[in-house]
Amino acid sequence: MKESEQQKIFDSWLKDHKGLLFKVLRAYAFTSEDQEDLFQEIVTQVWRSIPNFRKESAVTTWLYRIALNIAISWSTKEKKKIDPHSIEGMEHIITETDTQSDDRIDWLYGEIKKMNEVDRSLTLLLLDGFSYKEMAEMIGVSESNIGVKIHRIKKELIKRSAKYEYHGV
Amino acid sequence: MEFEEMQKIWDEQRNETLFVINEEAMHNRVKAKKKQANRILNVTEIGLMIVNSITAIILLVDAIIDQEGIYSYAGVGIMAFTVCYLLFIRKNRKKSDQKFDRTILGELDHAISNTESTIKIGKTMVYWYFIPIAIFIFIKMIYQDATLMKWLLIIGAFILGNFVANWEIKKCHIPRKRHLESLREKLIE
Repeated sequence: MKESEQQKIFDSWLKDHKGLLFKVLRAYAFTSEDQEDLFQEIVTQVWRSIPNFRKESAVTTWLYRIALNIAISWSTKEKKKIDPHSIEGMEHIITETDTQSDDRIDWLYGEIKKMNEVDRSLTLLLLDGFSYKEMAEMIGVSESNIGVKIHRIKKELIKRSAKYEYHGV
Repeated sequence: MEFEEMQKIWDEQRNETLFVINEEAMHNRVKAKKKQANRILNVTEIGLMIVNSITAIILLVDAIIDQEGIYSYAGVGIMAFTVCYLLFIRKNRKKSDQKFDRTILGELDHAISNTESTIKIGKTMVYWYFIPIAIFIFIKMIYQDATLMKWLLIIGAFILGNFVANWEIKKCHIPRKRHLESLREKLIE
């Protein structure tokens, strides 16, 4: 595949599906340095994956699989301590905007952050409407295994939401 | 709150506005990262093979010149063996790169396998590099009637080298492998 062709696909994927990558970023990285680092890892892997994309799955499934793989493995790595002076003048690849986000969305991300790395992935996929079959194919375990995990996650989220509503936030 | 309601809230989010991408900087980073791919593992493997091959040649030349007996050749043999062993690990790793499926579980297995490779190389460094070299140098020092100070310095250097090599394995690679294995457990439990 020609580099120009790869570049075109990469730009179009990013334009159409950046929201998906941002969801993974918000669920796994919590400081601006970490978000920058994780985003860089994800987009690099997305770029590398383009020649292997055979259109057997939807682009969103492909991107979610890559982003979650990287996020899970990234979260196991020891994070480098970044010296703020060393990045002065360095161009940031992503910048958080001042947009006011919905409190309920913040609450959901807050709950996702409390989960282990695997449950975080499943919750993102579940909230984005993936079927058990798609999740099982993406993760590499059986549908029944996914079913058990999802049941537990839903139950826990509903239980915690009662507390959230009670405080009337 | 019911789960369906959470899903509705989720669908309402407009993540596009949460972050802004600097496309030029991103393209530059991706290009830089691409070049860096697998460089670290390759440098470790190929670098160790080169160092051990050079050491084997030096030991061989030394053994031929000094004519100090069969023990001198033992070091050469062990060094040559480590080069073959590293080649074997590298070949297996390359082969296994094709073996893993593209699921999250498959990628985790791949990451575990790569970490195992790194640990194996680290241990090779400790057991098959320091120990034979130490034995070789100690025998030479016995022959040369080395002073107590020289003995202490050499032993100290070996202990320190061994400690540093083991420290990296224990503090960095083994915990990462355990963490990856625990994630794997969480996936399949």
